[in-house]
Amino acid sequence: MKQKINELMNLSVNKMEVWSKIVRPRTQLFLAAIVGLFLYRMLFSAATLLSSFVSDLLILLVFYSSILILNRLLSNKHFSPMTLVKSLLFLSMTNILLYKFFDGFHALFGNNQIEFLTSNAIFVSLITYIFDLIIIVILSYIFLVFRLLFFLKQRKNVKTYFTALLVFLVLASFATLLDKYNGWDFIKMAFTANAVILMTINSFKISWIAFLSKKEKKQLLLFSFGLIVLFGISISLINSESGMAKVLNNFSLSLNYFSLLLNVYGIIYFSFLFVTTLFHLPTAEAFDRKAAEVTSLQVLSRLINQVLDFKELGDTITDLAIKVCNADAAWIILNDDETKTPVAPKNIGFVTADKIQSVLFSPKNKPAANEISFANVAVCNEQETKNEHFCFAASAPLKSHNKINGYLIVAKKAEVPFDDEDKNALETFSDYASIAVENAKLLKSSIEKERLERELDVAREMQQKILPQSIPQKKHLEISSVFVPAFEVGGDYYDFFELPGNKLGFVIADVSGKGISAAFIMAELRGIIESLVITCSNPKEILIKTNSIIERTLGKKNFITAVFGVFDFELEKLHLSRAGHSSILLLREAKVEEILPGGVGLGLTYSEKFETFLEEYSLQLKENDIFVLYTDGVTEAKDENLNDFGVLTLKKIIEEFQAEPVDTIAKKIMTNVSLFSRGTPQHDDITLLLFKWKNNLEKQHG
Amino acid sequence: MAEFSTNHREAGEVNIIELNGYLDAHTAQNLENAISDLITKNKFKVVVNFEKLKYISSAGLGVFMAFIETMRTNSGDIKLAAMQPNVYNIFDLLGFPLLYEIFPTELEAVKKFNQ
Repeated sequence: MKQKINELMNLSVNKMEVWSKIVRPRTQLFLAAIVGLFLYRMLFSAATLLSSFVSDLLILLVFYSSILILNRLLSNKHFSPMTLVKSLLFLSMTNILLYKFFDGFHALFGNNQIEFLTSNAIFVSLITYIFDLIIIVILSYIFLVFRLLFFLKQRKNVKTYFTALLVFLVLASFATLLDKYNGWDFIKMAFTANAVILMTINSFKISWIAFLSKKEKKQLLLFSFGLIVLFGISISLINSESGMAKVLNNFSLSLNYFSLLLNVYGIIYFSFLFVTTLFHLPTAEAFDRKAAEVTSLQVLSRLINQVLDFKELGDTITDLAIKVCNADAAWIILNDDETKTPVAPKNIGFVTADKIQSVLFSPKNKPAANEISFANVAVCNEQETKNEHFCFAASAPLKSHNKINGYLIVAKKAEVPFDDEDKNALETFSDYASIAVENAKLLKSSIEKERLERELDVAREMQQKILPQSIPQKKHLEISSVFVPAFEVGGDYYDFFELPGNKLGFVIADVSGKGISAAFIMAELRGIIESLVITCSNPKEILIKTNSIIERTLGKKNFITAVFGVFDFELEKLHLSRAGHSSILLLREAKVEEILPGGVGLGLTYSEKFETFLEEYSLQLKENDIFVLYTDGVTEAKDENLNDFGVLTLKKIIEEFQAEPVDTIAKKIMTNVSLFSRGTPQHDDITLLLFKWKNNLEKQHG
Repeated sequence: MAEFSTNHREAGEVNIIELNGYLDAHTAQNLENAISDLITKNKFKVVVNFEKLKYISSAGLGVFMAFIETMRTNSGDIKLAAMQPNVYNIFDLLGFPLLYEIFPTELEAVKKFNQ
């Protein structure tokens, strides 16, 4: 808001500056010239060459300052040729109306000239003077518009021609004085002749009509005819014996002559324009088409960098294709799409489009694959209503990097085949379109990638928060855990629970699937188990209950493998149940054995079978028993030849370092896994849980 | 990327899908399409031949879970056959043999349907 006000302030300050620096001095000049002229004419009314000349000089000054002001006022605006022509129409009409109006005014007072001269001399001469001034302003405006028209679409410096014309116009006007007072009409004639020649030359500078559309050209034809008539009327009024003409002549012969010449210029200029436009009319359509093509390509090349929405892009392409190729319908098919469904169809139904496609891409109609192909499709949709009856179709491949991504197809109803122009247009256009399509695709995939990465970031963060932040410290149990997330978040989960009666519960689980969905199920699983362990410390029971609760969350295709175990420090026992998870490794007496009690994965079945197959496993703990639990991220870690790391290797490492603390064993395992899978990406989470039973430690010390 | 393909055969009213290559999250859709294709044709007796399958991931296992119920409620089944040991191990760990019928050869699986 504040900024806006500031901007406004700045703007107004700017305007003020322009006013004080440029417009005000000009207005002052204009006003000074008006007043000076008026006073001069009041004081020196004698009709001599000198006084008329000075008077005309002052008129010239008024004319000049009026041009300066108008030029300043118009300089910020951009005019199309048509608006200029229209303003000229308006101006010359006003001019004529003024003449007529003043004629009436003059006739009214002219009858009582004596009376009016005596009583209202100053009033009437003031009114007359104001009319004269208005005529000057209008003339300067007309002159300015001519100047703008002249400079339209001019690339070379053609200023000289126009300045020369102006000079000769002024000279010829002044020469009228010599003609009147000295009878030297040849000077006036010479200057006039020069001026007319220059007018003719300048009237050739009308290249701007080429850039008009056909509709505008038609309008222009009408307008220039109208202008020729209007200028003609003006000339006849100037030369007539009407009151206004007399008054003007009385006011300034030169001005009247200047006005005459300007009207002559108008007639010459618009006659040229009329004829040229007439000749341009037949080619106008071709020009329009080229122009449409160029603008379409411009729009499309802008689109290439803008479009985020594939549908929008498709719509624009088909829209423009119809314009560029003079077609009635257009659509796109993409090669990714096996059904070849039309994308962004314009003015055509799927059924008809399909029929035309089958003709275009039939083996008979070679070479549809690599270049533009045409086909007469009139037969194939004969029975369609008139609305959907197309006679000719053309298809252009959308190529990028020598690969065809799809086709742009256009169809038309007229029984005239596509011509070379259409073909070229379609070719150019499809090149642009294919870049746009390719860009949109790339953009889409990079957005998709970014979205996925962000999703994975969220999933990883979730996982980090779900996993325990620290491992419990137990006198008789060494515990170690390792967790290495995969880039795609594999859904591994482990946790520890302090249970009543001096027990420690633990869980290790692997949710099938990856990313955010796996992280979500993990979070659910943790919630379920956390609430279950409050009232229950039986591994089998916990897994059975988890299975029935998780059904709501788990999709048909997903499952969880898990081991739930409980260390009983009182009875020195381990109880556990396994739901489809990898084996539990137990090192006892220097050998690793696999503990594999029966049980199917969570989510594999929700019937009573789950309970039936789930076994309970209990073991009396012995000093230095080492338990290793892992997820398949460990055993299925791959080397370059896609070999698995395997359980055997894992067992060997445990056996080799059995005397070490579990942290060291864990480190050794991880070092081996990463050495093994060096050079291949880790595609699943890796989780390791290690326990070592150290109950007799205290007894030994004691 | 690892290759995967399926091949469909018929033996009487039993439909046999042969798996070839690596079945993982990326290729699972392929198998899913093949099986749902059979369902749309009201063919519910399916034997999956694993002989040429080198690897299966959890996403691959999920495909069978997704369809087994439909098959069984329509008095059909998905029977698995001729697995390589490493592939069988994965099924075995998860407890699949307890819920699915797994046969050493395709012939035995087909026979079971015809009994």
